[in-house]
Amino acid sequence: MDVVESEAALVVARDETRDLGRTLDQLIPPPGSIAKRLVSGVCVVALAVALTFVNMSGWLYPRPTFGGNASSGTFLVVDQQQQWVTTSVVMPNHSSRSVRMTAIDLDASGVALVGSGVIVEPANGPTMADEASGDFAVDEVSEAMSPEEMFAPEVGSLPVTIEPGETARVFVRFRPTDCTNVVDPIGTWGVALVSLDFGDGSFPPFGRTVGLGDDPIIANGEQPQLIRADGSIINITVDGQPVDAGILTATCDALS
Amino acid sequence: MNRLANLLGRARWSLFLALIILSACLSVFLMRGSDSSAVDIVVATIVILVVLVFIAQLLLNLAGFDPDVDERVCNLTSDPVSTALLKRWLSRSKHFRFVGGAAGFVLGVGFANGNLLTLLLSVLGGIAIGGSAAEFHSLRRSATATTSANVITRKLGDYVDRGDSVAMLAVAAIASLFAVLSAISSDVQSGSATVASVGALVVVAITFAMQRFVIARPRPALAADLRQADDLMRRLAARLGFTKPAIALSFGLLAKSVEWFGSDDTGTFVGLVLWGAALGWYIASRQSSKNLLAEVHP
Repeated sequence: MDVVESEAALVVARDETRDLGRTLDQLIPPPGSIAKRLVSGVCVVALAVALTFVNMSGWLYPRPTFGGNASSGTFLVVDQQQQWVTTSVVMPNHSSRSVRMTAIDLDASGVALVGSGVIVEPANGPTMADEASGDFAVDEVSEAMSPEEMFAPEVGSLPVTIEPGETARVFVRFRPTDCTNVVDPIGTWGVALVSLDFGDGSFPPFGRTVGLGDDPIIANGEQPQLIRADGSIINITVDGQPVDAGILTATCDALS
Repeated sequence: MNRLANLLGRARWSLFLALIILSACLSVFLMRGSDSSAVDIVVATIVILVVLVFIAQLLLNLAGFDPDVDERVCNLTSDPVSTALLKRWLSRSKHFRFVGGAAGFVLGVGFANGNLLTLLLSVLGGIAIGGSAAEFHSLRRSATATTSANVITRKLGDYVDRGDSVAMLAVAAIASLFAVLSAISSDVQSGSATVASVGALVVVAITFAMQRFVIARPRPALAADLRQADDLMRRLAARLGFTKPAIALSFGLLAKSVEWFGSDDTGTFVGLVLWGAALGWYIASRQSSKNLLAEVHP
């Protein structure tokens, strides 16, 4: 008799538990198995990892300068005849995808951009000119640009494609907007802005403008050397001491 | 789940010893070709052990393993029916929030460009999205048909924390102001500031919609004790589950907006205050025993 009663009690308890489970299921679903939850959790994080990889390697939108920096430390070449100053900055393509440079601009107060150009250096060794494309005006680009090279690049050769591992040397030519009321820049000055995309018909069709902030014309107020085409330095005294005047003042003096 | 928790609890020292042995074997195997000293092998063993423990913790959390859920729930209620319901909700919410936070961290690493505050914002965003996603279960077709419905009208104010409502209003007001100011500004980065401000507004709007969705979702006719437990679950969801993480996220977005918009001393101070508010709301949103008790017995 006792056994029958206890069995009946067990059945009632099991039914009650099942009923409670059903009621709870209407309010919130029962937890899935650990394996199921692990798979779903790992899938979500794996999707995030995949998106992160795609973005960091530059496949989502052009980001050639991510993951590394570069500075050229070149000088400014003054052309008195043309009344402009030429210099170059570098844009390495650290991403895994080729990018196309479509425009060059210059963020520098007190000067106006009058021309620009670009030379692409391969990942290994010096550049051979791609004369057929008309992108380059010099045959080889050395690490430190000579004044001849600085004067050489043609203007208006964009767009140009920079493959992964290659480095684009971006030339900018500018002249002071007003030499009568010169205000010399303080701190970092002269950041080249390059517009990039993946090319016509590429996916995704995203383009963006990248500021080459790693390689400004003036970094932290350090005065660059102003030179002439023959290589003679402008902003030093006869004793070889640097001239105290700011970059725009020295440039205006050299161009006048 | 309970069996796994018991197993891990009972055999934790054995498992730890097994991990140490595995780490030592791995370090010896990896360094077998080099002229490594005993110190190098010990250091490598420690490094591998830390990595293995981290991976194990990560996988357990991704699997929704929640060993202390019993302890947290027993502080909230003694009723077995309510306990069963709250355990389901707490484990589910914690799992979704962890997965969201982990995904947010990974995305932050990829998209934050090394900016730690943007990375933090991404983690907060992941937690807020995870907390909200945990409440979408009612959209799924239930296996058990509801035969009757509860028709008691539920009011937002009975479930939502007044402080959270004030914070949401404040965020909406500040975000609107920042959006207008940054939109008419000629500053280079004002476009990003506008996007961040509008983002904060959108987060507040979605949170308000989520509150209505969770509080007003249908409920079958239940016994009084289960109805009380369901009310508590909705209140916890509408407070700790997604509202507080969303407020933390919106404060973070406002702080980023200030960072992009103004770089003077005032901007820095306002940004710090907003980040402080974001962290405060995040800490208050953690589903610790203390925070849960504070919601049950304010």
